[in-house]
Amino acid sequence: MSREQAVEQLWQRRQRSKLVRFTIVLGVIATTWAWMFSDITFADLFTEQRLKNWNRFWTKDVIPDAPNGFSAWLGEQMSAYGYKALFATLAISVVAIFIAGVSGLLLSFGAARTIGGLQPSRFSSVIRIICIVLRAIPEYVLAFLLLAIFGATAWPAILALAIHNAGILGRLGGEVVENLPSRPLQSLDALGASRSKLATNAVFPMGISRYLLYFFYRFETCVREATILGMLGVVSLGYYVVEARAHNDYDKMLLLICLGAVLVFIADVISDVARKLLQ
Amino acid sequence: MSNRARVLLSIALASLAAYLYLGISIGELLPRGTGVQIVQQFAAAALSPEANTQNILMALLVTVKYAVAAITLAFTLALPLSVIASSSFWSESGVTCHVLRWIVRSFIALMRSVHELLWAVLLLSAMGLSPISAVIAIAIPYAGTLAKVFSDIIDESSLKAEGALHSIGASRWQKFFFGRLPQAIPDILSYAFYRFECALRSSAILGFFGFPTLGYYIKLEFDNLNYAKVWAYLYVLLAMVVVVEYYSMQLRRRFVA
Repeated sequence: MSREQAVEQLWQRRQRSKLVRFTIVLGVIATTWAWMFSDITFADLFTEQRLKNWNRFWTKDVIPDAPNGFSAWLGEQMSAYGYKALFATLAISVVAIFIAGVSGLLLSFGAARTIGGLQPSRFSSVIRIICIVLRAIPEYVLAFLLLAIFGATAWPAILALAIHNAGILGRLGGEVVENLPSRPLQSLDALGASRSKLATNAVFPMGISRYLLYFFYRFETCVREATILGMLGVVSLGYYVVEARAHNDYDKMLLLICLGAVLVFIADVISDVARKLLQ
Repeated sequence: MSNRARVLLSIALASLAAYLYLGISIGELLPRGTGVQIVQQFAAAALSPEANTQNILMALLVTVKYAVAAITLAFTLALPLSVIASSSFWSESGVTCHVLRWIVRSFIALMRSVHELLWAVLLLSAMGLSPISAVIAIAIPYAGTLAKVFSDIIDESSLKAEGALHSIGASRWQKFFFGRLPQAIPDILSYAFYRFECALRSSAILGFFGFPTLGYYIKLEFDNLNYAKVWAYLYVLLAMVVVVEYYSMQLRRRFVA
Protein backbone atom coordinates (compact mmCIF):
# COMPACT_ATOMS: atom_id res chain seq x y z
CA MET A 1 0.00 0.00 0.00
CA SER A 2 1.44 3.31 -1.03
CA ARG A 3 1.62 6.23 1.33
CA GLU A 4 -1.14 8.06 -0.55
CA GLN A 5 -3.44 5.08 -0.14
CA ALA A 6 -2.70 4.88 3.56
CA VAL A 7 -3.47 8.56 3.97
CA GLU A 8 -6.65 8.08 1.92
CA GLN A 9 -7.68 5.22 4.18
CA LEU A 10 -7.10 7.28 7.30
CA TRP A 11 -9.21 10.07 5.79
CA GLN A 12 -11.98 7.60 5.03
CA ARG A 13 -11.97 6.36 8.60
CA ARG A 14 -12.26 9.81 10.17
CA GLN A 15 -15.09 10.35 12.59
CA ARG A 16 -18.19 11.78 11.05
CA SER A 17 -21.41 12.99 12.55
CA LYS A 18 -24.49 14.33 10.79
CA LEU A 19 -25.32 16.54 13.75
CA VAL A 20 -21.90 18.19 13.70
CA ARG A 21 -22.14 18.84 9.95
CA PHE A 22 -25.66 20.18 10.28
CA THR A 23 -24.47 22.50 13.06
CA ILE A 24 -21.62 23.81 10.92
CA VAL A 25 -24.00 24.61 8.04
CA LEU A 26 -26.47 26.21 10.46
CA GLY A 27 -23.68 28.22 12.05
CA VAL A 28 -22.44 29.55 8.71
CA ILE A 29 -25.97 30.53 7.66
CA ALA A 30 -26.70 32.22 10.99
CA THR A 31 -23.42 34.12 11.00
CA THR A 32 -23.90 35.32 7.44
CA TRP A 33 -27.42 36.43 8.24
CA ALA A 34 -26.46 38.23 11.45
CA TRP A 35 -23.58 40.15 9.89
CA MET A 36 -24.57 40.60 6.23
CA PHE A 37 -28.35 40.77 6.11
CA SER A 38 -29.36 42.66 9.24
CA ASP A 39 -29.11 46.04 10.90
CA ILE A 40 -25.88 45.08 12.68
CA THR A 41 -23.06 46.92 10.96
CA PHE A 42 -19.73 48.33 12.03
CA ALA A 43 -20.32 51.31 9.75
CA ASP A 44 -22.78 52.48 12.39
CA LEU A 45 -19.86 53.15 14.71
CA PHE A 46 -18.34 55.69 12.36
CA THR A 47 -21.19 58.05 11.52
CA GLU A 48 -20.36 61.68 12.16
CA GLN A 49 -22.76 61.98 15.10
CA ARG A 50 -21.43 58.89 16.84
CA LEU A 51 -17.81 59.95 16.44
CA LYS A 52 -18.73 63.31 17.91
CA ASN A 53 -20.53 61.64 20.85
CA TRP A 54 -17.59 59.32 21.33
CA ASN A 55 -15.07 62.17 21.41
CA ARG A 56 -17.12 64.29 23.75
CA PHE A 57 -17.68 61.33 26.07
CA TRP A 58 -14.01 60.51 26.51
CA THR A 59 -12.57 64.02 26.45
CA LYS A 60 -15.24 65.89 28.44
CA ASP A 61 -17.98 63.80 30.03
CA VAL A 62 -15.85 61.34 31.95
CA ILE A 63 -13.25 63.85 33.17
CA PRO A 64 -14.01 64.51 36.84
CA ASP A 65 -14.49 68.07 38.00
CA ALA A 66 -11.77 67.98 40.63
CA PRO A 67 -10.40 71.34 41.79
CA ASN A 68 -8.46 69.69 44.65
CA GLY A 69 -6.85 67.05 42.49
CA PHE A 70 -7.87 63.57 41.51
CA SER A 71 -7.05 61.74 44.73
CA ALA A 72 -9.14 64.16 46.80
CA TRP A 73 -12.02 63.66 44.37
CA LEU A 74 -11.62 59.90 44.54
CA GLY A 75 -11.66 59.99 48.34
CA GLU A 76 -14.87 62.03 48.37
CA GLN A 77 -16.60 59.74 45.90
CA MET A 78 -15.55 56.61 47.76
CA SER A 79 -16.87 57.82 51.10
CA ALA A 80 -20.03 59.25 49.52
CA TYR A 81 -21.11 56.02 47.77
CA GLY A 82 -18.11 53.96 46.63
CA TYR A 83 -17.58 51.82 49.74
CA LYS A 84 -21.33 51.45 50.23
CA ALA A 85 -21.70 50.16 46.66
CA LEU A 86 -18.83 47.70 47.06
CA PHE A 87 -19.90 46.29 50.44
CA ALA A 88 -23.58 46.02 49.54
CA THR A 89 -22.77 44.15 46.32
CA LEU A 90 -20.39 41.79 48.08
CA ALA A 91 -22.85 41.18 50.94
CA ILE A 92 -25.70 40.42 48.52
CA SER A 93 -23.62 37.88 46.66
CA VAL A 94 -22.33 36.21 49.83
CA VAL A 95 -25.82 35.73 51.27
CA ALA A 96 -27.09 34.57 47.87
CA ILE A 97 -24.34 32.01 47.32
CA PHE A 98 -24.83 30.72 50.88
CA ILE A 99 -28.53 30.05 50.24
CA ALA A 100 -27.71 28.59 46.82
CA GLY A 101 -24.98 26.41 48.30
CA VAL A 102 -27.24 24.91 50.96
CA SER A 103 -30.20 24.37 48.60
CA GLY A 104 -27.90 23.00 45.91
CA LEU A 105 -26.49 20.54 48.43
CA LEU A 106 -29.97 19.24 49.22
CA LEU A 107 -30.91 19.11 45.53
CA SER A 108 -27.74 17.25 44.60
CA PHE A 109 -28.60 14.17 46.71
CA GLY A 110 -31.86 13.97 44.82
CA ALA A 111 -30.48 14.86 41.40
CA ALA A 112 -27.88 12.05 41.33
CA ARG A 113 -28.98 9.26 39.02
CA THR A 114 -26.97 6.63 40.85
CA ILE A 115 -25.34 6.72 44.26
CA GLY A 116 -22.44 4.30 44.25
CA GLY A 117 -24.32 1.92 41.93
CA LEU A 118 -27.24 1.80 44.34
CA GLN A 119 -30.82 2.61 43.51
CA PRO A 120 -31.21 6.38 43.07
CA SER A 121 -34.05 8.26 44.64
CA ARG A 122 -37.34 7.87 42.81
CA PHE A 123 -37.56 11.56 42.14
CA SER A 124 -34.15 12.04 40.55
CA SER A 125 -35.46 12.90 37.08
CA VAL A 126 -38.04 15.32 38.51
CA ILE A 127 -35.34 17.04 40.57
CA ARG A 128 -33.05 17.25 37.55
CA ILE A 129 -35.82 18.96 35.58
CA ILE A 130 -36.37 21.37 38.49
CA CYS A 131 -32.64 22.19 38.40
CA ILE A 132 -32.75 22.86 34.65
CA VAL A 133 -35.78 25.16 34.96
CA LEU A 134 -34.30 27.00 37.96
CA ARG A 135 -31.20 27.98 36.05
CA ALA A 136 -32.82 28.55 32.65
CA ILE A 137 -34.32 31.85 33.81
CA PRO A 138 -31.68 34.62 33.79
CA GLU A 139 -31.04 36.20 37.19
CA TYR A 140 -31.88 39.66 35.90
CA VAL A 141 -35.38 38.65 34.77
CA LEU A 142 -36.00 36.80 38.03
CA ALA A 143 -34.89 39.80 40.07
CA PHE A 144 -37.14 42.06 37.99
CA LEU A 145 -40.18 39.89 38.72
CA LEU A 146 -39.30 39.44 42.41
CA LEU A 147 -38.82 43.19 42.83
CA ALA A 148 -42.52 43.74 42.19
CA ILE A 149 -43.34 41.27 44.95
CA PHE A 150 -40.84 42.17 47.67
CA GLY A 151 -40.18 45.83 46.93
CA ALA A 152 -36.80 47.50 46.85
CA THR A 153 -34.99 45.55 49.57
CA ALA A 154 -31.94 43.36 48.94
CA TRP A 155 -34.12 40.24 48.83
CA PRO A 156 -35.11 40.27 45.14
CA ALA A 157 -31.43 40.34 44.14
CA ILE A 158 -30.46 37.73 46.73
CA LEU A 159 -33.29 35.37 45.81
CA ALA A 160 -32.73 35.74 42.07
CA LEU A 161 -29.04 34.86 42.44
CA ALA A 162 -29.82 32.09 44.93
CA ILE A 163 -32.49 30.42 42.74
CA HIS A 164 -30.37 30.48 39.58
CA ASN A 165 -27.24 29.19 41.32
CA ALA A 166 -29.12 26.56 43.34
CA GLY A 167 -30.17 25.04 40.01
CA ILE A 168 -26.60 25.01 38.71
CA LEU A 169 -25.06 23.76 41.96
CA GLY A 170 -27.77 21.11 42.27
CA ARG A 171 -26.88 19.65 38.91
CA LEU A 172 -23.12 19.90 39.39
CA GLY A 173 -23.49 18.45 42.90
CA GLY A 174 -25.55 15.60 41.43
CA GLU A 175 -22.62 14.79 39.16
CA VAL A 176 -20.23 14.88 42.12
CA VAL A 177 -22.42 12.36 43.93
CA GLU A 178 -22.64 10.13 40.84
CA ASN A 179 -18.85 10.06 40.55
CA LEU A 180 -18.15 9.12 44.16
CA PRO A 181 -16.26 5.84 44.71
CA SER A 182 -18.90 3.12 45.03
CA ARG A 183 -17.14 0.65 47.36
CA PRO A 184 -17.58 2.49 50.68
CA LEU A 185 -21.18 3.36 49.82
CA GLN A 186 -22.04 -0.23 48.93
CA SER A 187 -20.47 -1.65 52.06
CA LEU A 188 -22.38 0.82 54.24
CA ASP A 189 -25.54 -0.14 52.39
CA ALA A 190 -24.79 -3.84 52.94
CA LEU A 191 -24.42 -3.14 56.65
CA GLY A 192 -27.96 -1.80 56.60
CA ALA A 193 -27.33 1.95 56.71
CA SER A 194 -30.43 3.98 55.92
CA ARG A 195 -30.50 6.45 53.03
CA SER A 196 -30.20 9.45 55.32
CA LYS A 197 -27.29 7.80 57.18
CA LEU A 198 -25.58 7.26 53.83
CA ALA A 199 -26.10 10.90 52.91
CA THR A 200 -24.76 12.39 56.13
CA ASN A 201 -21.98 9.90 56.95
CA ALA A 202 -20.64 8.95 53.54
CA VAL A 203 -21.84 11.07 50.62
CA PHE A 204 -21.40 14.41 52.37
CA PRO A 205 -17.84 13.94 53.73
CA MET A 206 -16.63 12.33 50.50
CA GLY A 207 -18.21 14.82 48.14
CA ILE A 208 -18.04 18.14 49.97
CA SER A 209 -14.54 19.15 48.85
CA ARG A 210 -15.38 18.78 45.18
CA TYR A 211 -18.72 20.50 45.74
CA LEU A 212 -16.95 23.44 47.38
CA LEU A 213 -14.78 23.87 44.27
CA TYR A 214 -17.94 24.39 42.23
CA PHE A 215 -19.34 26.56 45.00
CA PHE A 216 -16.44 29.00 44.74
CA TYR A 217 -16.54 28.93 40.96
CA ARG A 218 -20.18 30.01 41.18
CA PHE A 219 -19.31 32.64 43.81
CA GLU A 220 -17.21 34.48 41.21
CA THR A 221 -20.10 34.59 38.74
CA CYS A 222 -22.46 35.53 41.54
CA VAL A 223 -20.44 38.65 42.41
CA ARG A 224 -20.26 39.58 38.75
CA GLU A 225 -24.05 39.33 38.40
CA ALA A 226 -24.66 41.09 41.73
CA THR A 227 -22.92 44.21 40.42
CA ILE A 228 -25.64 44.70 37.80
CA LEU A 229 -28.79 43.59 39.65
CA GLY A 230 -28.73 46.97 41.36
CA MET A 231 -29.74 48.51 38.06
CA LEU A 232 -33.27 47.37 38.83
CA GLY A 233 -33.38 49.66 41.88
CA VAL A 234 -31.89 47.42 44.57
CA VAL A 235 -28.98 49.01 46.40
CA SER A 236 -25.94 47.42 44.83
CA LEU A 237 -23.28 48.85 42.55
CA GLY A 238 -25.60 48.92 39.54
CA TYR A 239 -28.03 51.20 41.36
CA TYR A 240 -25.39 53.92 41.67
CA VAL A 241 -24.39 53.39 38.04
CA VAL A 242 -27.94 54.06 36.87
CA GLU A 243 -28.22 57.04 39.23
CA ALA A 244 -25.00 58.57 37.93
CA ARG A 245 -26.09 58.05 34.33
CA ALA A 246 -29.49 59.61 34.99
CA HIS A 247 -27.76 62.74 36.31
CA ASN A 248 -25.27 62.76 33.41
CA ASP A 249 -22.47 62.28 35.96
CA TYR A 250 -20.44 60.19 33.57
CA ASP A 251 -17.25 60.59 35.62
CA LYS A 252 -18.97 58.91 38.56
CA MET A 253 -20.45 56.30 36.26
CA LEU A 254 -17.04 55.35 34.89
CA LEU A 255 -15.59 55.23 38.40
CA LEU A 256 -18.37 52.84 39.48
CA ILE A 257 -17.82 50.59 36.47
CA CYS A 258 -14.13 50.41 37.38
CA LEU A 259 -15.09 49.61 40.99
CA GLY A 260 -17.21 46.77 39.60
CA ALA A 261 -14.17 45.39 37.80
CA VAL A 262 -12.10 45.65 41.00
CA LEU A 263 -14.79 43.82 42.96
CA VAL A 264 -14.94 40.96 40.46
CA PHE A 265 -11.16 40.78 40.60
CA ILE A 266 -11.25 40.54 44.41
CA ALA A 267 -13.85 37.77 44.22
CA ASP A 268 -11.58 35.91 41.77
CA VAL A 269 -8.72 36.11 44.25
CA ILE A 270 -10.88 34.97 47.20
CA SER A 271 -12.16 31.99 45.27
CA ASP A 272 -8.66 31.10 44.00
CA VAL A 273 -7.30 31.13 47.56
CA ALA A 274 -10.19 28.99 48.80
CA ARG A 275 -9.75 26.48 45.97
CA LYS A 276 -6.01 26.22 46.67
CA LEU A 277 -6.81 25.53 50.34
CA LEU A 278 -9.23 22.78 49.36
CA GLN A 279 -6.98 20.95 46.94
CA MET B 1 -8.87 21.91 62.20
CA SER B 2 -8.58 20.83 58.57
CA ASN B 3 -8.49 23.32 55.72
CA ARG B 4 -11.91 22.11 54.65
CA ALA B 5 -13.42 22.81 58.05
CA ARG B 6 -11.78 26.23 58.05
CA VAL B 7 -13.27 27.06 54.65
CA LEU B 8 -16.74 25.89 55.72
CA LEU B 9 -16.53 27.93 58.91
CA SER B 10 -15.41 31.04 56.99
CA ILE B 11 -18.34 30.66 54.60
CA ALA B 12 -20.77 30.49 57.51
CA LEU B 13 -19.24 33.49 59.31
CA ALA B 14 -19.02 35.59 56.13
CA SER B 15 -22.67 34.84 55.32
CA LEU B 16 -23.76 35.85 58.81
CA ALA B 17 -21.75 39.06 58.63
CA ALA B 18 -23.17 39.88 55.18
CA TYR B 19 -26.72 39.19 56.38
CA LEU B 20 -26.28 41.52 59.34
CA TYR B 21 -24.61 44.19 57.19
CA LEU B 22 -27.53 44.28 54.74
CA GLY B 23 -29.97 44.81 57.64
CA ILE B 24 -32.55 42.49 56.11
CA SER B 25 -34.76 40.05 57.94
CA ILE B 26 -36.26 36.74 56.90
CA GLY B 27 -39.66 38.06 57.91
CA GLU B 28 -39.60 40.36 54.87
CA LEU B 29 -39.85 37.30 52.68
CA LEU B 30 -43.54 37.02 53.42
CA PRO B 31 -45.05 39.31 50.80
CA ARG B 32 -47.46 41.83 52.19
CA GLY B 33 -49.95 44.33 50.83
CA THR B 34 -49.76 44.73 47.08
CA GLY B 35 -47.10 42.00 46.90
CA VAL B 36 -49.70 39.34 47.68
CA GLN B 37 -52.04 40.65 44.99
CA ILE B 38 -49.28 40.70 42.41
CA VAL B 39 -48.27 37.14 43.25
CA GLN B 40 -51.87 35.97 42.94
CA GLN B 41 -52.55 37.74 39.66
CA PHE B 42 -49.20 36.78 38.20
CA ALA B 43 -49.55 33.12 39.20
CA ALA B 44 -53.11 33.01 37.88
CA ALA B 45 -51.91 34.21 34.46
CA ALA B 46 -49.33 31.41 34.19
CA LEU B 47 -51.77 28.89 32.74
CA SER B 48 -53.28 31.22 30.17
CA PRO B 49 -50.37 32.91 28.39
CA GLU B 50 -51.49 35.35 25.75
CA ALA B 51 -49.31 35.34 22.68
CA ASN B 52 -48.86 37.96 20.02
CA THR B 53 -47.15 35.59 17.60
CA GLN B 54 -45.64 38.26 15.40
CA ASN B 55 -44.04 40.18 18.28
CA ILE B 56 -42.75 36.99 19.84
CA LEU B 57 -41.14 35.83 16.60
CA MET B 58 -39.55 39.22 16.02
CA ALA B 59 -38.20 39.39 19.58
CA LEU B 60 -36.87 35.84 19.34
CA LEU B 61 -35.20 36.55 16.02
CA VAL B 62 -33.51 39.73 17.27
CA THR B 63 -32.36 37.93 20.44
CA VAL B 64 -30.78 35.14 18.38
CA LYS B 65 -29.31 37.64 15.92
CA TYR B 66 -27.48 39.66 18.59
CA ALA B 67 -26.25 36.48 20.25
CA VAL B 68 -24.93 35.03 16.98
CA ALA B 69 -23.19 38.26 16.01
CA ALA B 70 -21.73 38.70 19.51
CA ILE B 71 -20.41 35.17 19.87
CA THR B 72 -18.82 35.14 16.40
CA LEU B 73 -17.16 38.50 17.10
CA ALA B 74 -16.02 37.31 20.51
CA PHE B 75 -14.66 34.06 19.05
CA THR B 76 -12.69 35.94 16.38
CA LEU B 77 -11.15 38.21 19.01
CA ALA B 78 -10.54 35.42 21.51
CA LEU B 79 -8.65 33.02 19.28
CA PRO B 80 -5.51 35.14 18.69
CA LEU B 81 -5.66 36.50 22.27
CA SER B 82 -5.77 33.00 23.71
CA VAL B 83 -2.72 31.90 21.72
CA ILE B 84 -0.75 34.89 22.99
CA ALA B 85 -2.01 34.35 26.53
CA SER B 86 -1.09 30.64 26.65
CA SER B 87 2.18 29.74 28.31
CA SER B 88 2.94 26.88 25.90
CA PHE B 89 3.11 29.28 22.95
CA TRP B 90 6.00 31.13 24.62
CA SER B 91 7.73 28.09 26.11
CA GLU B 92 11.09 28.82 24.52
CA SER B 93 11.01 32.62 24.56
CA GLY B 94 12.78 35.30 26.54
CA VAL B 95 11.59 37.73 29.17
CA THR B 96 10.12 40.37 26.82
CA CYS B 97 7.67 37.84 25.42
CA HIS B 98 6.52 36.89 28.90
CA VAL B 99 5.91 40.54 29.68
CA LEU B 100 3.76 40.71 26.55
CA ARG B 101 1.90 37.58 27.65
CA TRP B 102 1.30 39.07 31.08
CA ILE B 103 -0.05 42.29 29.56
CA VAL B 104 -2.45 40.35 27.34
CA ARG B 105 -3.60 38.23 30.28
CA SER B 106 -4.39 41.35 32.34
CA PHE B 107 -6.21 42.84 29.37
CA ILE B 108 -8.31 39.67 29.10
CA ALA B 109 -9.06 39.81 32.84
CA LEU B 110 -10.22 43.42 32.49
CA MET B 111 -12.52 42.55 29.56
CA ARG B 112 -14.35 39.89 31.51
CA SER B 113 -14.49 41.49 34.94
CA VAL B 114 -16.88 44.16 33.66
CA HIS B 115 -20.35 42.71 33.21
CA GLU B 116 -21.93 42.90 29.74
CA LEU B 117 -24.70 45.14 31.03
CA LEU B 118 -22.13 47.60 32.38
CA TRP B 119 -20.38 47.53 29.00
CA ALA B 120 -23.79 48.20 27.47
CA VAL B 121 -24.41 51.20 29.73
CA LEU B 122 -20.95 52.54 28.92
CA LEU B 123 -21.39 52.13 25.17
CA LEU B 124 -24.92 53.53 25.26
CA SER B 125 -23.65 56.63 27.06
CA ALA B 126 -20.69 57.04 24.74
CA MET B 127 -22.43 56.33 21.42
CA GLY B 128 -26.17 56.02 21.74
CA LEU B 129 -28.57 53.20 20.96
CA SER B 130 -27.46 51.07 18.03
CA PRO B 131 -27.56 47.31 17.38
CA ILE B 132 -23.78 47.26 17.05
CA SER B 133 -23.36 48.63 20.59
CA ALA B 134 -25.43 45.74 21.93
CA VAL B 135 -23.30 43.27 20.00
CA ILE B 136 -20.03 44.82 21.15
CA ALA B 137 -21.24 45.04 24.76
CA ILE B 138 -21.80 41.27 24.80
CA ALA B 139 -18.72 40.49 22.71
CA ILE B 140 -16.13 42.21 24.95
CA PRO B 141 -16.63 40.21 28.18
CA TYR B 142 -17.35 37.04 26.22
CA ALA B 143 -14.09 37.43 24.28
CA GLY B 144 -12.30 37.76 27.62
CA THR B 145 -13.88 34.61 29.03
CA LEU B 146 -13.35 32.63 25.82
CA ALA B 147 -9.70 33.73 25.58
CA LYS B 148 -8.99 32.71 29.17
CA VAL B 149 -10.61 29.30 28.85
CA PHE B 150 -9.12 28.67 25.38
CA SER B 151 -5.61 29.42 26.66
CA ASP B 152 -6.14 27.01 29.56
CA ILE B 153 -7.35 24.33 27.13
CA ILE B 154 -4.31 24.87 24.90
CA ASP B 155 -1.94 24.67 27.87
CA GLU B 156 -3.58 21.52 29.21
CA SER B 157 -3.55 19.52 25.97
CA SER B 158 -1.32 16.47 25.78
CA LEU B 159 2.40 16.77 25.01
CA LYS B 160 2.60 13.53 22.98
CA ALA B 161 2.09 14.93 19.49
CA GLU B 162 4.43 17.81 20.23
CA GLY B 163 7.11 15.38 21.40
CA ALA B 164 6.76 13.31 18.25
CA LEU B 165 7.09 16.42 16.08
CA HIS B 166 10.06 17.54 18.17
CA SER B 167 11.87 14.26 17.58
CA ILE B 168 11.57 14.62 13.80
CA GLY B 169 12.98 18.15 13.99
CA ALA B 170 9.95 20.43 13.87
CA SER B 171 10.47 24.08 14.72
CA ARG B 172 8.73 25.52 17.78
CA TRP B 173 6.00 27.17 15.69
CA GLN B 174 5.38 23.92 13.84
CA LYS B 175 5.19 22.09 17.15
CA PHE B 176 2.67 24.58 18.50
CA PHE B 177 0.43 24.97 15.46
CA PHE B 178 0.50 21.34 14.28
CA GLY B 179 1.16 19.47 17.53
CA ARG B 180 -0.72 21.35 20.21
CA LEU B 181 -3.41 23.56 18.71
CA PRO B 182 -5.29 20.90 16.66
CA GLN B 183 -5.84 18.79 19.78
CA ALA B 184 -7.47 21.71 21.53
CA ILE B 185 -9.97 22.43 18.74
CA PRO B 186 -12.82 20.08 19.84
CA ASP B 187 -12.78 21.44 23.39
CA ILE B 188 -12.48 25.01 22.14
CA LEU B 189 -15.50 24.65 19.87
CA SER B 190 -17.57 22.90 22.47
CA TYR B 191 -16.86 25.61 25.04
CA ALA B 192 -17.67 28.30 22.46
CA PHE B 193 -21.02 26.63 21.87
CA TYR B 194 -21.72 26.59 25.60
CA ARG B 195 -21.00 30.33 25.71
CA PHE B 196 -23.47 30.80 22.86
CA GLU B 197 -26.18 29.59 25.23
CA CYS B 198 -25.07 32.22 27.73
CA ALA B 199 -24.99 34.85 24.98
CA LEU B 200 -28.64 34.12 24.22
CA ARG B 201 -29.52 34.90 27.83
CA SER B 202 -27.39 38.07 27.84
CA SER B 203 -28.95 39.19 24.58
CA ALA B 204 -32.44 38.67 25.99
CA ILE B 205 -31.57 40.76 29.06
CA LEU B 206 -30.18 43.64 26.99
CA GLY B 207 -33.81 44.23 26.08
CA PHE B 208 -34.22 45.91 29.46
CA PHE B 209 -32.08 48.73 28.05
CA GLY B 210 -34.25 49.38 25.03
CA PHE B 211 -32.92 46.87 22.51
CA PRO B 212 -35.85 44.99 20.91
CA THR B 213 -34.98 41.53 22.33
CA LEU B 214 -37.15 39.33 24.58
CA GLY B 215 -36.27 41.31 27.72
CA TYR B 216 -37.71 44.49 26.21
CA TYR B 217 -41.16 42.93 25.89
CA ILE B 218 -41.00 41.24 29.29
CA LYS B 219 -40.36 44.62 30.94
CA LEU B 220 -42.92 46.43 28.77
CA GLU B 221 -45.76 43.98 29.35
CA PHE B 222 -44.96 43.61 33.05
CA ASP B 223 -45.01 47.37 33.57
CA ASN B 224 -48.35 47.46 31.73
CA LEU B 225 -49.63 44.70 34.05
CA ASN B 226 -50.28 42.36 31.09
CA TYR B 227 -49.19 39.30 33.06
CA ALA B 228 -50.60 36.83 30.52
CA LYS B 229 -48.34 38.32 27.86
CA VAL B 230 -45.34 38.36 30.20
CA TRP B 231 -45.80 34.62 30.64
CA ALA B 232 -45.80 34.05 26.90
CA TYR B 233 -42.40 35.75 26.59
CA LEU B 234 -41.09 33.95 29.66
CA TYR B 235 -42.13 30.59 28.22
CA VAL B 236 -40.42 31.43 24.93
CA LEU B 237 -37.24 32.46 26.76
CA LEU B 238 -37.30 29.29 28.84
CA ALA B 239 -37.97 27.08 25.81
CA MET B 240 -35.17 28.75 23.83
CA VAL B 241 -32.62 28.17 26.59
CA VAL B 242 -33.68 24.58 27.27
CA VAL B 243 -33.76 23.62 23.58
CA VAL B 244 -30.31 25.07 22.88
CA GLU B 245 -28.98 23.39 26.01
CA TYR B 246 -30.32 19.99 24.97
CA TYR B 247 -28.93 20.46 21.47
CA SER B 248 -25.56 21.46 22.86
CA MET B 249 -25.51 18.40 25.12
CA GLN B 250 -26.14 16.13 22.13
CA LEU B 251 -23.51 17.93 20.11
CA ARG B 252 -20.86 17.73 22.82
CA ARG B 253 -21.48 14.01 23.22
CA ARG B 254 -20.47 13.48 19.58
CA PHE B 255 -17.73 16.05 19.66
CA VAL B 256 -15.61 15.51 22.70
CA ALA B 257 -14.93 11.78 22.64
